[in-house]
Amino acid sequence: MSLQRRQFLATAALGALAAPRALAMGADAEVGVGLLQHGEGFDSRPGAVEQLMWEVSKRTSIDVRERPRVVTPDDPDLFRFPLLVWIGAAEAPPLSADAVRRLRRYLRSGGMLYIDDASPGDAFDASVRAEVARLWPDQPLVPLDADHTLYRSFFLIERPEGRVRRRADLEGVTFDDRTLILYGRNDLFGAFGRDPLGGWVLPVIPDGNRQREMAFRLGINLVMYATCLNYKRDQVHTTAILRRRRWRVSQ
Amino acid sequence: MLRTWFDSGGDFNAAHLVLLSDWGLLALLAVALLVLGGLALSWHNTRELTGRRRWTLRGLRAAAVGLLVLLFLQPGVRLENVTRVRNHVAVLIDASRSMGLPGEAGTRLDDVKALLAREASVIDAWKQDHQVDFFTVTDQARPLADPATVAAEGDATRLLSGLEDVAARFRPEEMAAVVVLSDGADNGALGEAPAVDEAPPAAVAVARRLQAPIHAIFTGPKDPPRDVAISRVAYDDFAFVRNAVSIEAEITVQGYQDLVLPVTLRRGDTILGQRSLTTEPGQDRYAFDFEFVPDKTGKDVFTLEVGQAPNEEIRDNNRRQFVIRIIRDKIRVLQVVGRPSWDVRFLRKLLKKNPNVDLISFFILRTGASIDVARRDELSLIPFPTQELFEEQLGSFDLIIFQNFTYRGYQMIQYLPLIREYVREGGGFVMIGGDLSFTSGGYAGTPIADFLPVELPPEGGDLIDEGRFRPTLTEAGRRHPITALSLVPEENDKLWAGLPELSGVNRVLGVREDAVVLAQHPAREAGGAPAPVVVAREFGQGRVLAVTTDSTWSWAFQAAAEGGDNRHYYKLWGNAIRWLIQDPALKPVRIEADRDRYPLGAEVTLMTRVVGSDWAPAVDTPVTIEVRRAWFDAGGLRQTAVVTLLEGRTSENGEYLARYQPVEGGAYTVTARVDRGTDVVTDEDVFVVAPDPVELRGTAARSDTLRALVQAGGGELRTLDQGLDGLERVEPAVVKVNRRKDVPLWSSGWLLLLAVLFPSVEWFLRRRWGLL
Repeated sequence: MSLQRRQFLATAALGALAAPRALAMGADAEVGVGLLQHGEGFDSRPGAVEQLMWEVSKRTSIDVRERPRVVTPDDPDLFRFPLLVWIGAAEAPPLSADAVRRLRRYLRSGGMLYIDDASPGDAFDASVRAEVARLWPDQPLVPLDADHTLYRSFFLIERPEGRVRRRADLEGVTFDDRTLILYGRNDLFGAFGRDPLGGWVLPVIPDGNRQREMAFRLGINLVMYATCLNYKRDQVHTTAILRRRRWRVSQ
Repeated sequence: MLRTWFDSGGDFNAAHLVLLSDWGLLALLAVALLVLGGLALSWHNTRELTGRRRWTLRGLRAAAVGLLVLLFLQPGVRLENVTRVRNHVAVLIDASRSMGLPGEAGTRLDDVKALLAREASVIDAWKQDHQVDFFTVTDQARPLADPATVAAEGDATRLLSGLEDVAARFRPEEMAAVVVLSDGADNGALGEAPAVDEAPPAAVAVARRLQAPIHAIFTGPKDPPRDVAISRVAYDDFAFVRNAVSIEAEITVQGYQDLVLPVTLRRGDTILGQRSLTTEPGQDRYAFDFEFVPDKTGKDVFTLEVGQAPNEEIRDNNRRQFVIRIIRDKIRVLQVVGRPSWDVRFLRKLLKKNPNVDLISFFILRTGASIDVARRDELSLIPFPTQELFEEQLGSFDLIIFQNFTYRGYQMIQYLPLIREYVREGGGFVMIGGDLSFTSGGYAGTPIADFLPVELPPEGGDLIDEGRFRPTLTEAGRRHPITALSLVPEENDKLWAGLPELSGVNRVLGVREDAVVLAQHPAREAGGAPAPVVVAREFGQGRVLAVTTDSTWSWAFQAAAEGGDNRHYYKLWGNAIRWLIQDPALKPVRIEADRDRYPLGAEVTLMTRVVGSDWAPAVDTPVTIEVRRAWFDAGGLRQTAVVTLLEGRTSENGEYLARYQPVEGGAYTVTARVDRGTDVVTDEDVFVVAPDPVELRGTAARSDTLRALVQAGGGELRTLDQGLDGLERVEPAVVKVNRRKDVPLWSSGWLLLLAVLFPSVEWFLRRRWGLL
């Protein structure tokens, strides 16, 4: 289950008392998220990224940078954040040609874009489909297979949850053995925000805390997939690879 | 008789009747019809006469017609002086090395020579009607001027191939007979044919081409020699490093019982395996399997040896040497990661994209400090298989990457010495920086610290510098194959200066004396020198690289933001991997023999390629090649000695081509040395000089193969005692006409007289009997 308020406060207190978990190597060593500023909604889920990254830091070994860096496509720092989140709450204006070109370069060079539909209707969805078609015209958004690495990069996930249940799967654009654009319509980041007292900012519908926990797990898997790529898929074959060579300790 | 009558001068030696007329077929037919018509008419018009008169007239008429026909056909006697062309008796003497083994009196070949000397008169008698041609036969037939000069030096016995060569040399009508003198120890199609009563098809085919009797004279001891022989060794010419290699051997034992001998497989001086051969009653062949795991690439000479039995007559076949080329199939990389990060992500992508890399990744996704709110079956985590990776499988990796990974917390302390030995014995190792690396990872004072290129400070204190920086190349780094993003040092400087900034380095005390700093911090110091960022070191047989930052990923990703791409990141790490795994292509000197195995007396070609410190071909550079031979002395001990030094200079392509002709067998190692002023760089190759082992794998003389041969060729199989006299030969069929003379018979006056007389008498009688 996700960390509840009492757990959260206790853990935060323990974290403050404990010795620093690591000596940071600098800003580039921390795994942070870029928040794409485009259209309405990028700031509609305050504290959500911070909460997700906090959960990541507590549940995994990843050294995180909690605060997202809000970036525009032409921001010089865009390429310091290989994971970019675009939250949309309404129809978004078309990206400029320069923005498309730069984001395409970003994706091709190793960046990953998660698009989160936080809108109440379908207007943002239409914008997303139009912009994805411009960003990656060769391949359309397609539903991810149930055995996609994203669904087992840390937690085993059967259904991608969010603040709402609008769609039972995620969509994505995969290129070169890597899903570089992911698109969810369940307002994933809407499930994460907390107020200063530790309460949830938004209710999760319909299953409440269990659904919120599942949303966190998806978020953690998302960060894990961004940093480990298909590592978990390797492990299916690892034993076979190890055994394939009949290496033995010399007698 | 004809010749006696007509050749009074004795100038001709043949005579036969011929028709000297040159009438055509139609004319002859017309005459024949006329004759038959005339005779029929005669028959008809004498039917009224009494018996005596009827037959008298008919006889006279027939005689007259016969004489006329005779005159018409112009018969004659053809006298000829002819010469009969001698056909060939091919005598094939087996000159393979098995003929040098003991026979009845001397060696098998000596016995053959004695036979030929003893039977010289028989051979001389053959020469009256035949041309006697001698050949040696090994893997083919070669003409031989004097049988007394034959030596048993051939590396194979292929009797059918020799007969094919003879058949190709002569037409079938030119052959009188073939005589094969051999011990029958054939290692070609004849010897390998299953022992059956019928002659093998290949022998039948060659006999059909020859169309002459094939005889065989068997030479060999009455009892097979007492011998232990390696009759077969099966191995692949190449094998993959760190993969099990199998070598199968078959050993044949003749004439011994209750024998126990060691069977040993060696790589150079190192024993890879040993088995025991114990003879069993009724069994003469014994199979052995050896399996070993080569731990380094390159060519090596392997020696399979079976011990010598008491009073063994043939010792050359107790040892077999061969070369196996150990190659890399894929670079096997173990990437161990202390925590996922962007640096991990980009290096992993690089490794996964490299088709030559077989990547085993283990990422620590959760630590003991992580909060566990999910059931175990809701997580995709697996245990960290430390024993399997660092003990059982350790030697199978070409390269181990510790990327921001600490061994602490995984009960790994006992594996650290194994990793040190892995490196010492030739493995590659990289430690990439981070808050879990170097001293921050607790490595100070551990076996890992023993081989790292950097000196680690003790724990405590300020271990990490977080600032941004752009590393600079050292003088060594400008040319080193790892940091050479361009072969031109000045261009390389520019490329490095254009790379995005890095952030954060692990602090170290300094670098080891034998380490080479390639890139360093522009502002921070360690041990009185700029703080190292990329440092290389050779440790034992292995190589180690330390990268004291975890931010090189920015060269893969941030470079794209500035209009560049990830090519320099890929180039740098690609170079590093190749250097760490000791890719032969990165050797400044490479020497290669043109073959792995040479027969005795063959010339060896050695190609040496040299590159300079700028990795361009080194022109006009002195090269010394040391040729070292290893052999086994009479006591079975391995000896080595330098047999020659070859010296030369490289061409404009940086190549030096040397030739060498070994005079003795053995395992040879050639070492090329180039003095580059500051250091001496070397490379070596190996090859074997030895007779073809196939000849002595079976030493028993075999009359069964010769029996099959003569069965196919319709000849005789004899022993030496039976000699050569009386062997069937085809008489020469080809004759040559030197002179010819035709004596006409029809022009005789008596014949003309009779031709007039018979019709006249017939006419007279008819008139007398009142028929006219």
